[in-house]
Amino acid sequence: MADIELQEGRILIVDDQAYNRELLAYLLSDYGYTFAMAANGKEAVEAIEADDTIDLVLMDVSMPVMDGFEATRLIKAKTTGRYQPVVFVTALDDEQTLAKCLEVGGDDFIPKPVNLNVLLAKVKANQRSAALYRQLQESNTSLLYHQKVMDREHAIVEHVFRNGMQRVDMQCRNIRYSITPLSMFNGDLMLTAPNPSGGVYVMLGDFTGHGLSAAIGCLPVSDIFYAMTKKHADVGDIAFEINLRLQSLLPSYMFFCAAILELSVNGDRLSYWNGGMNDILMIAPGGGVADRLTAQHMPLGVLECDEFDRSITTIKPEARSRIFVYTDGVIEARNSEGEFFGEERLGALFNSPRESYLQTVSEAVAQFQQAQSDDISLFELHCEPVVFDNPAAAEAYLEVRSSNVSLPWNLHCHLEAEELRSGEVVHQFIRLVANETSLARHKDVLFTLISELFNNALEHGLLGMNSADKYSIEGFSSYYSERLARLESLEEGAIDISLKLTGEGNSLLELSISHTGQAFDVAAVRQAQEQAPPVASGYGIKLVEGLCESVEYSDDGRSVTAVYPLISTP
Amino acid sequence: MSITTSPLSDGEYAIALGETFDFNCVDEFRRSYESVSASLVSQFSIDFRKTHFMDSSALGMLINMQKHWGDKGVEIRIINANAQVKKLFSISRLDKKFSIE
Repeated sequence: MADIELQEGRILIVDDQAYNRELLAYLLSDYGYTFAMAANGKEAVEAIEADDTIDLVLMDVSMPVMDGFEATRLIKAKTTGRYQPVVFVTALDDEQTLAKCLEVGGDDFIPKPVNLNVLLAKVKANQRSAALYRQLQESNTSLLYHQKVMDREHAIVEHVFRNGMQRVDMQCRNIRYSITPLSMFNGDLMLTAPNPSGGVYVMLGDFTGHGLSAAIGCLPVSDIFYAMTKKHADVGDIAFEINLRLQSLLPSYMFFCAAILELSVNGDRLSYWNGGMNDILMIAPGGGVADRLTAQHMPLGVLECDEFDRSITTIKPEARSRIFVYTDGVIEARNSEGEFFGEERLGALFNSPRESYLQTVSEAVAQFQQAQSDDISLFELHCEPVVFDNPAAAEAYLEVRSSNVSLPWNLHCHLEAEELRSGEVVHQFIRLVANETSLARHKDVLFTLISELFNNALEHGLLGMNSADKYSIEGFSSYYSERLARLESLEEGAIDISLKLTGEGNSLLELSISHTGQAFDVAAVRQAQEQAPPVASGYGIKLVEGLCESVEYSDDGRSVTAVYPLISTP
Repeated sequence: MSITTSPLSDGEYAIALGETFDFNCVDEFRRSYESVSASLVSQFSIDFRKTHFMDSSALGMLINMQKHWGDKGVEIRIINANAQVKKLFSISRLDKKFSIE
């Protein structure tokens, strides 16, 4: 223990005999102490109350007004929360008196007559105790403060984690899971998201280690997961992007084992990318492990971008199969003999058929293990048509945000033969308007509408082509080579495209396309379509009419105006 | 090339389309399925995962594909289509002619 630097202190001497008080003060005066005096217990208590610089009390036992016992009891009661040593100075040395001294809270005794060395040693020893006590108390206060700071920081981080990882307020009925972190922060990460074709994505991963340092990687991973799933990326591409980020972010001894799965809307097609996770188990509808989907890849965050393999495996699970995915915490759970739970014990749990194995497995692991030593996560995916508990939330999540507040505007392009020959008109036009906030989420519809009406104007109006040529397979191909040839030699004619935001609250998009070429007999075309057997052609106008509120032709079919409602009607 | 054909298991072939599936793809799309040997294929899955932009010629291309394979007993499935693409199939009533997942 470090040597405690003794402060010269202030001592309260309590004795009804003035001679005794002066003797003690005299003995100690050479050592730099200062003194307060009290002639009885009552005065002593008052002195302690009035003067908080007193380090030590030397207390006589028998005194008038209030004796040393009572005074000590009161002093101790008034100084809870700090250490106020009281040393009895007494000629009484019977056991009963000594026991009473301790009972009322006394810290030590000095026998009378007082020996200088004993007195000095006891004063110093009690001062040292007081100093130690003070130091301990300061450390405690400081620890409490840091604990509070840390609790607060944890609460903030936990909040950020929760919001960072739970972006979709939806539950998919096909997925059941159980997550048991070892500490407040989880190094296991499980994420799910709906996909734009009605299926569902689910990822389970395990960062090296556990606690906050392991959990820190969860934030960038979930950012990428949600961004990529919204884009309808395949699971290999999601893995690629996560790897890219982790590779630059994590220290070399840390990585992320992960399985990323995508179940199709009917539940009959499963794609997966498994990097370093335990075998994914496929449980047959009647129970039993039917297949093991072994990791085909290295964990994420290890390989350089150009070494990374994003290839995925797609399988067709039998209807009502269960896919079981789990982290190391499951098979590495240990019992009191130090045995692992292991894959064999796990596999045996699937032998009798059940609706769900999740609880069975969780309970078996909990019962087996002596104490949890890692994060434990597992989920079960039901290979059945995908159902969301709140489909509206899943839909809203996937929708591209577009603001409905916009200024009314009108965009007009007049295209002469030279521009038309470039052949990229529709894509260029879409690029031009796609940044307009109110149109962002209608980009794809807009492409279809403009494509149809523009190509009709170009192909039939200016290039003089006949749709009937498209009816055969060969005709279809040659029609488009002919289109290309005629377009390349187009010398005259023009097409005007105009797009206008209109209607109440700018809720309507009005698209007009006109050309300077041959007239177009809409009625005849429609009639021909009704009579024609199913052929490869003639869907264009049907699509435009199906998507739009109104489609009107004028100027002998040379001009067409279609109105598309930007706010979808339920 | 934006369209790729790759064999999956059990005679299934996947044809993955690009972001735009329109008349510019006519020849490329035709090659993507004609290049597969009839003795090997039992099912095509046309993967619309990346496809956002589509016009009526795309429907024409699919009909031609069905003409090519239909009488050979090869099933054609449309997979990973987003809601907008599905809508085009339903407006044109081709959702009755193709199995759309």
